Amino acid sequence: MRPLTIYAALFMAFIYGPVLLLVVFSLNDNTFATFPLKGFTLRHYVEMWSQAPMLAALGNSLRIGLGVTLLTTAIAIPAALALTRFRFPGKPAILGAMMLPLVIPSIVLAVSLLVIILKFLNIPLSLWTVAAGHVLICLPFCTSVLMSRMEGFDPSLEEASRDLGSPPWQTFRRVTLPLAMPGVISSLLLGFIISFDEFVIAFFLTGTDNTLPVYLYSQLRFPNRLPATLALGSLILVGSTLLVVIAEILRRRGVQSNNPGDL
Amino acid sequence: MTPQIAIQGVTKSFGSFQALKGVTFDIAKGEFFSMLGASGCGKTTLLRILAGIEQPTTGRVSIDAKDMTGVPPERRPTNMVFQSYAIFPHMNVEENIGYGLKNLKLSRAEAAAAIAGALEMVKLEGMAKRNAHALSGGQRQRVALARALVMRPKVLLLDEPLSALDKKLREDMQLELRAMQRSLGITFVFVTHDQEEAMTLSDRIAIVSGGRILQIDTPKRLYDAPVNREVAEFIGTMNLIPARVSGPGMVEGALGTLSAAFADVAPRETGAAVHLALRPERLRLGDEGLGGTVREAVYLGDRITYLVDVPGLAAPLRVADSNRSGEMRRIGAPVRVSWPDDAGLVLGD
Ligand SMILES: Nc1ncnc2c1ncn2[C@@H]1O[C@H](COP(=O)(O)OP(=O)(O)OP(=O)(O)O)[C@@H](O)[C@H]1O
Ligand SMILES: [Mg+2]
Repeated sequence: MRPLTIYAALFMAFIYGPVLLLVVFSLNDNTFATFPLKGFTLRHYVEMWSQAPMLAALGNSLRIGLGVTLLTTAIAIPAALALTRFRFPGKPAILGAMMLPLVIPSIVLAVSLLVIILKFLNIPLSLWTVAAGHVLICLPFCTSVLMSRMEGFDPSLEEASRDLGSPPWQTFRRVTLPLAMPGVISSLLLGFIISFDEFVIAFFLTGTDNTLPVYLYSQLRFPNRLPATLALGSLILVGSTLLVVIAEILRRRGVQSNNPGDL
Repeated sequence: MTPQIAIQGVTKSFGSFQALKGVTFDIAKGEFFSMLGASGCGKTTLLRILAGIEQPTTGRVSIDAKDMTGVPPERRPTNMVFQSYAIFPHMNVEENIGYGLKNLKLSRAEAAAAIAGALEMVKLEGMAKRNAHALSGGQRQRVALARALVMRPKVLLLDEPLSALDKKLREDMQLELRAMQRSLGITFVFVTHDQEEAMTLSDRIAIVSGGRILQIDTPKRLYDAPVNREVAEFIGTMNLIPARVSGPGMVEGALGTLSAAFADVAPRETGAAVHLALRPERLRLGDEGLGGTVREAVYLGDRITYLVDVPGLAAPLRVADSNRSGEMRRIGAPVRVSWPDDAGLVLGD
């Protein structure tokens, strides 16, 4: 084997090994995640459904993820439009400020949000405060994904639409949005995934309800619940892989039918 | 003539760069008006101002006696064929052409008929369902043309709408455009790089240079009486001989004292540096006139172009001979060049 091939194999093993291990242990007929493997079973997948608190946490995370990504993308679309379409004073500063949460450590952000929420706003901690925190951290990601898409297409398309009689909002609906759709889909996915597996902010800002990462962390003390966690983890893995594949297919199709490069 | 478009003192600055430096003229209703000029002279910028896509920095535009300041593109009686085509990539040919019709509240049948007519006009029948990304450059350009034509605007703005077409198709489309413009009485504002195209189609042509209008006239007037050297060189070819004004209707130069027509109205002082301009086809080779030798002879069938070296002139004279005699002069042969009195024009820079 050539050195490059070996390197590539090691690289893949390093990245996917632990993940595959998770799947393997979730199918192993043993309460403890250790070698040697004892035999194949699906019982962890069945047991999983009887763990009400875990399912509740999963439900919370799904709801927050969905809500957060919808809201964030809705905010990010006009922001990205303004930042790509118009020139205005202070634009670099605004751009910088919008991207800043990308580089602030989330622990710092979490603590400061906690202080603001409890000391200044006097709002009780709940899943709502978690969602608000998530919108904050998702916004720069979603905005930059949308901006890169919106920078890619010819501004004369929007001008042509106006010229043909469509006022701005209609131009947005008939031209801008369809052309930005691959970016919108990426933004929706990205927002969901960031929120879904975010731990630090959720840990600090949640009240009595848990998101899935926070719940799972709290369960590490009980080894006998681990297999169900592994089973859930494997399902999430399959689900998110499917999601990414679908998004990629949609994106490819989008690129093919409206490649800004050749028009 | 009722002016349909009135452009008054329009300037346009992009930062510190002034793309239009004060433009004032009218375009009549139903006129085929062309703008001709070198790349970067501001033609597209002016069209975009007429369309309402750009706002003039100073000055204003009225259409049908209505001030257009602040009127957005969607509420102007204009449609534009974009230089970059601006075909919507997420739509097929038919949807592109029908895009603006949706805003006109036509019935489905009316819209379908209009689209079919436009497709036929640009010779894209049978391509209705073709995706935008599967079109060639020339096909895209024709879709862009059809998309604007189908709107039947009062004023159609065309930014080099035929530049990507081959000669045959381009000539067909020129005829179609001209016929359509006549029958519908639409005012055309047409931008082109191609002087022959502008001459073929236009009622009047504006020669644009460096953000200014040099001259606006009929094709014939532009050719026969260009106002300055730049216009003369832009339209057709011109022999330019440096000279000085020596009196009313007279110039003096390396060729001695000659009579010439003063094209521009501004009176010229005696002694002013000018050019004596002569069109190649007004020059004759014969037994009288300036003596010279043939430096180059190009046989074009319907005419022969000679370059004749004349002692005292820095550049050779270009002579277009009508080839009536069928005889061709050899390189190096001695010849004499003459022209009628009214052929010489006096031009400033
Ligand atoms: N948005 C803009 N920002 C800065 N400069 C611009 C802008 N639009 C046009 N210009 C400049 O204004 C000048 C005129 O441009 P314009 O597009 O009107 O030229 P044109 O006559 O249409 O040229 P061409 O024949 O190449 O299409 C050019 O020098 C161009 O660089
Ligand atoms: Mg142009």
